[in-house]
Amino acid sequence: MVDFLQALVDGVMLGATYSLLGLGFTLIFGVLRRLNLAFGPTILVGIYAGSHLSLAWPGALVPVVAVTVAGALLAGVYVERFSFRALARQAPVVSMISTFAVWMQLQELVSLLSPSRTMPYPSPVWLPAVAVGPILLRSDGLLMWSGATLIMLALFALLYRTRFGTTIRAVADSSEAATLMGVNVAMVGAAAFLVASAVGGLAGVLIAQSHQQVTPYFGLWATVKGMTAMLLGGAGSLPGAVVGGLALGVVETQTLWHFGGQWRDLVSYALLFLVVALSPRTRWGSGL
Amino acid sequence: MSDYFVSLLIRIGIEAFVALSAYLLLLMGRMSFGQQGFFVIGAYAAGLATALYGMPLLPGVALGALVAALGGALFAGPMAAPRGLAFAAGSLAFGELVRVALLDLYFQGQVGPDLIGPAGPDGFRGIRALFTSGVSVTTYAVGIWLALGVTLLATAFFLRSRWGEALRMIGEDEEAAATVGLPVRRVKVSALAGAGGLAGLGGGLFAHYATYVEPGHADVMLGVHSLAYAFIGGLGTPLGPIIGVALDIGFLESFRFLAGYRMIIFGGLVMGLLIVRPRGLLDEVAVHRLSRFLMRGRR
Amino acid sequence: MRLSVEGVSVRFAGISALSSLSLAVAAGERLGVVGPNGAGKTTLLNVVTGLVRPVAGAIRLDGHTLTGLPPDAVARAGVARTFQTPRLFSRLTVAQNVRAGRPLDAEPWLRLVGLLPRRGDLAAALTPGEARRLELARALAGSPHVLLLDEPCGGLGPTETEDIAALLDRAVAPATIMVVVEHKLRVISRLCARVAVLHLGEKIFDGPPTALRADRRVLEAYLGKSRAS
Repeated sequence: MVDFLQALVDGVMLGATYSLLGLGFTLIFGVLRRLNLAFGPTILVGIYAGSHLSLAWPGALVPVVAVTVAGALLAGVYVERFSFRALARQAPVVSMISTFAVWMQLQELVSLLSPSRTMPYPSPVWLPAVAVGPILLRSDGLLMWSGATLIMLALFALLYRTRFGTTIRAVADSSEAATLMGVNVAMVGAAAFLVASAVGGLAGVLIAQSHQQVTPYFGLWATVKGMTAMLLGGAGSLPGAVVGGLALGVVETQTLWHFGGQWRDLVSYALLFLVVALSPRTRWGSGL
Repeated sequence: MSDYFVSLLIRIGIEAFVALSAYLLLLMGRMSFGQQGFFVIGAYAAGLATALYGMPLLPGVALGALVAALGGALFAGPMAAPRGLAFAAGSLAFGELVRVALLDLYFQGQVGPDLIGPAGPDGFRGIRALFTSGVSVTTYAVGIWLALGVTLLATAFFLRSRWGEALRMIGEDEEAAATVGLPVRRVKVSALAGAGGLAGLGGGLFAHYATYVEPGHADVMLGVHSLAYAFIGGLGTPLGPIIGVALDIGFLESFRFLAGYRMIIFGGLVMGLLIVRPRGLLDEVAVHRLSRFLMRGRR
Repeated sequence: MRLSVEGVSVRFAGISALSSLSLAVAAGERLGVVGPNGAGKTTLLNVVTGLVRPVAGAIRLDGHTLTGLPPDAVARAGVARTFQTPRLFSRLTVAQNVRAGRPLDAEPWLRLVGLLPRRGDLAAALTPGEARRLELARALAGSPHVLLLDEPCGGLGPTETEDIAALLDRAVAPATIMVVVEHKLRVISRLCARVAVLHLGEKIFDGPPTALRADRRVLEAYLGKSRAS
């Protein structure tokens, strides 16, 4: 029972970052109706930039966070410009192909610019773990959960409480209707893309501080986690992505506790496969 | 022929099978990020057949392709219906599932003094049928290209048949294809099986060249590259993917000063090409014009 | 041969698109289907061809139940259709579009619709009028028992409309069951001896086109209650 609760708590803390990745995916997919496979790799660029800075300037946590987010934003601008805006007239699937070309580029870029495959990422390790009864809340997990929750609150405030957010949601709902109402859909799409990249960069900070290291494989990893969270949540629903991310996190940690580490990835990929296999006729199945 | 050149030929030949398998599914409107899964299924199965059960090289490789084709048919069970994003996500999950599952696959047997067979993350070593059968690497390279040539001719033949038309119809408008009575499901299952078999054939050929195969060979980048190859060459002809592979491995890689930047340049090439030619260099329209032009010359 | 739609209901996300609709069309009969936008005309064709599944009711062709069959099985049972905007295979040639994966000779059908000279072109190169004719040839080529046409003259000028109407008169085998969804009443009156009017998913009229203008419910549906009275 304690094991179950501990795994549940760990899962929620981990899942909160998956929710962030899922939100980033959903923002782009919802507004542009296109899939950004390079979402993970753009975050990868940010994390590597942050890692380089931390090596050159140890202990500078705030600049590292800033550089990580800036790196993800910069890579996001690149993807938006060449894989989305330049291909706006083409079928959605063409953007998807273009993003995997970018994926190859970004992954190669970080490998080239780094002295080793595995790069360290700083973590505020001086924070103590908190014990609540028999449940242990590790500091990196607490940081993931609280950070992700704060970012989500800010994002939802932006999307549901501001004029800008209303416009984004209007375009996601129906870009034709929004166009008729005088909204510049292309501009809104680019803006949503930047917001998503920034959210992705912040998610990258939280995840990397927990892992304390990063490899080029992180790009694929983040893309898969974000995509799974989005699809579990019904593809297109923002609250759904949050729930999907949490569910994925809990499933992973429960599997880890009860069956061991080697099953964890297997189960999370199987989950993604099942989601696709069991809902073949949903709107995201035929929409692209 | 220099050793480097022979190894280059072999790599292009093997990669071409995987690119061809991605191409087949692209014609059907499915973007697969999981063909690397069938590649390693073929590699492991062919390796088991020759190294553990003593099958000769050729039947072993053929069996590997057959097992991968069977895998493709089973994969079609849940994956024939999804398209677009759903298929992309599902195939990606499948490819990774295969890789992760192989990390846990231990199936070894005593062959002579050695333990042979898949050993989890250490992979499957000692697939030596090529070298014990006394075939030289150069002969093997020629053999691979012969097999590729035959496969290309067969693919071209199939694509010109009604089955090929059906594939393109499904790729363009699956509902319209169904409303003229096309047995869409049967066509999709056969294409997924065929694509699995092609990738598996590449895998079996690879395993016997490298003498080993490991879960890492199911890296998603293999699938991603295969898709890129199919695209850059163009969707109008089965030669498209071969052109893509040759351009990347043969051309870009042979410039040593580009060494580390290859993927950046190649990725940029794909990205730029998509803006001007979203269906690749030799797309359907180009091939149609070209064949008309050639026919006119003959008259 | 008889096509019968028996109490068919279709819902999209809780909204009723067809509510217990019944229709029967006999061999050789040509039924026109009219109605305002959103009346359920295209949904009717979609549910007959199996693209949409009904929540209730059944569709039968000569006693064989078509409901629940996948679209390709429905087509092989002898039901052919065209779409509101032609759905051609633009990257295949004109002749390949007519064959559409079936073992048949495209030439007579291409000659019939006057597209024989263009048989080697890609379908993407056709004009909208040619595209309509090609789609018609594709539907006719399977020699179907049931031919469902969704606005065969939509977006065409008066001459092309007349061409299509004449073509249908000439090319459709006499025993074929034909259902034509069309906005242009002139086309309907010319082709069909019987017309059904749909309104908000229900059939509000079924009879000869000549009786149409005198029907109170039809006038209400088209003009609104106050102006009709």
